[in-house]
Amino acid sequence: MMMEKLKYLYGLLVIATIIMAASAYWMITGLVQESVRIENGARDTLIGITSQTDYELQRFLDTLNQIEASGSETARADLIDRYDVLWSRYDTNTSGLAGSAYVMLPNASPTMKKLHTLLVDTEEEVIALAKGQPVNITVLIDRYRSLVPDLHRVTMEATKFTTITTSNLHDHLQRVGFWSKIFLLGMLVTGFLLSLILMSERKRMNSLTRSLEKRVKERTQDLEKTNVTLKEEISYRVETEQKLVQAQKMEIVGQLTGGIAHDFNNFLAIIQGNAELLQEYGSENDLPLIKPILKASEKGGQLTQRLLAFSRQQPLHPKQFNLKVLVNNMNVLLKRTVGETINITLTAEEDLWDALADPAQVENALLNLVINSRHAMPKGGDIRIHCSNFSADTDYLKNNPEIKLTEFVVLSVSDNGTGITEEVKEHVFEPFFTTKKVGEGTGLGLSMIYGFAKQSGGQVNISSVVGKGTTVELYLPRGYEEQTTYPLDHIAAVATPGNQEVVLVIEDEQDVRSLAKEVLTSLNYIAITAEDTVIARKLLEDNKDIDLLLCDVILPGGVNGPDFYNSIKEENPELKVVFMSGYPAEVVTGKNLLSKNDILLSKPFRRNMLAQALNQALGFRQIF
Amino acid sequence: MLFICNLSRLALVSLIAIIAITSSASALEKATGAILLKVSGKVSTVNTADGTAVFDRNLLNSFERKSIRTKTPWTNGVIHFEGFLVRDLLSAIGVESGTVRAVAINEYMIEIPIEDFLKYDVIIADHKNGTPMTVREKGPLWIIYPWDSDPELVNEIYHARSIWQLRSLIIE
Repeated sequence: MMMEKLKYLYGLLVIATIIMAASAYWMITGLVQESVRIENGARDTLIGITSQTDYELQRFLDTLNQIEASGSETARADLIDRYDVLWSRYDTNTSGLAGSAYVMLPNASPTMKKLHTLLVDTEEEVIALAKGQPVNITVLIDRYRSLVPDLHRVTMEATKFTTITTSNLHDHLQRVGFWSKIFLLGMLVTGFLLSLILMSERKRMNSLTRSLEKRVKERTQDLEKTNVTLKEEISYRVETEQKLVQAQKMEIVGQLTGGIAHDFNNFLAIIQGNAELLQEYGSENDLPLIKPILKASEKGGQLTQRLLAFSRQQPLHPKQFNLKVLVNNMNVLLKRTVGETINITLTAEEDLWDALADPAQVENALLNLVINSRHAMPKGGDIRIHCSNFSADTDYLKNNPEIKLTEFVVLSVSDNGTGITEEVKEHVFEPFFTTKKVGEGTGLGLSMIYGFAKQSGGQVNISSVVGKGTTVELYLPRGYEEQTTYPLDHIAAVATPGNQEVVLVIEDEQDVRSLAKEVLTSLNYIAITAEDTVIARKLLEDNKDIDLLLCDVILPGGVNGPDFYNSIKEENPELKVVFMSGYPAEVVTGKNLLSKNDILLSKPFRRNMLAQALNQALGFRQIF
Repeated sequence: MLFICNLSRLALVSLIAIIAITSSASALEKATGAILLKVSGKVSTVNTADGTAVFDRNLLNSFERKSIRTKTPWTNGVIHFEGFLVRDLLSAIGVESGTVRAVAINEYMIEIPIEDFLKYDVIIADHKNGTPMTVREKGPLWIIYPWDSDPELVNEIYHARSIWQLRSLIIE
């Protein structure tokens, strides 16, 4: 609004200045033209002409008077010259520019005619007079004298005319001067105002430019910052993507391994179970043949156990324990394992939190790590085992999107051995990847630890410098229970046989079902079997004296074991249950099919393990 | 161009004048007829006993003739004036610089700087449109400036210097 007004004022001032300048120019030009016109009009000459004419007439009369008075000879000699000069005035006063200005004067033209007529009339008399002949000189003088007032009047007119012209010019000059002053003043004022407006405009423009420059600078800085952030984001994403790809690869390999191991476990269970039955009831001669079968199937079981561990599908029994106590308990075993050339030091953070994991697997992992370290230091060295607390901050969680928990207990095993390259590091957690010589290692050690850590909700980190050593960190979830269950030696106790309790076996696999029946019978239980839940339900209705349900976790027909158990529990409140599974991943990893107090038997199981599980379920003996 | 031309001619004329002065210092003939023009004052070459140079029509006619066609404020139309260059007269009487006081029959008097005659082709005219001028026609002698060819001369100063009915010159 203000700007708009200023714009109008600006335009108005410019127009006013132009008008004033044009007016001043027009007036001054007019004045100059008038002055030139007057100059060309022989203004000055006009008075000169008239007065000169008066003068010549007077001199002529003077000469005549002298002749009349004294008959002067000098005067007589001059007479013709005077006469001719007077005559020449007629010509001068009527010719040219000066003449035309002269005849414009009032009464000038008739006076000149009168003069001319008189000169022509008296020519002979004047000549005669000059020659000294007698002439009535008085009459002649009177005649010329009569011209004096006429000529004088013309002179007066000329003076008047010149005065008027001059005064007009003067008036004009005054007027022009007056207006010129006003216009000059006006132009000065408008010029001043215009310069004020221009100055303020310039100031505004300057500040606008400055703020624009500032804004551009700020924007550039913002862009630079954004650019840096974007670059960081890109590199972070690339890194995360790589991690994700790696994790997915491990996941797929794990699923594949797990699937094979699961099926393989069923076959092993059959082999092992039948071999054990043969050992119990077979002939003495067969015993040497049966032992290798049992040994081989046990080894096969161990292998599948490891595979399952890697594929995060091994049955875990998470307990809350103190990691420091666990490591301490293993101290002797570890020292014996590494030999005398290697020194092991144990350290732990004060106020170490409890960990929540399967202690047996932690022991297993520690042993594996120590063995790896020993292999990395063939000429001896130091192994440092350190237990510490770890709280994941936001950055850590951002960089490790798989991590769900925030507090961990870390088991760190460091050596000063050969170390591994970056290339090797990428593959160390893959199953059957090994740098050891054939026969020295299975290539499953770190894979198992990896799978176990993931399955437990923690993770494994490995860092290494070639020639300096390697550090492996096992992150275990923190346990928040008040009571600590110290890791115990859980070597199996001797199984107690049953007392003719009735056990209902639900298992879809025919061979496993019949094997279970055989084993149960041998353990002094009465076994009845069902291949699915429909049959099982019917059997339960018919036989009210069934004491225990031995049930697969996964059953055909879309119903799982725990669900089935829950559905019949109300009608059979005394009924106990033992679950079995060759594929217990779902139990631990998220599906939460089993509650903490449920007893799980993982396939393949030995006779003794089944006996223990049944004992536990029926409350004969507390094992753990 | 005209100006340069005039200057070169001026230089040439000056040279001739110097030669004339040195070779024929007292070669001015005596006037025998009626005296038309009398030159007095600082004149080095004279033809009278009282130290003046006087000219009759014969003597005046001995100067190279020169014409000017021009308008004047006192005449109608273009007039053909004829006469001789003032500077020719001045060189003949040995005048190079100073002021000329020109006096008319009626004792009208005007001062003219000699530069006028050196700078412009100013003539003393004795003929107008082919006939000798009488006193009645502003004769017998009239100083004429070349107004039409040199317009800067058209002003009151040169108009006043254009004296008619010229009788004598006084060199100062």
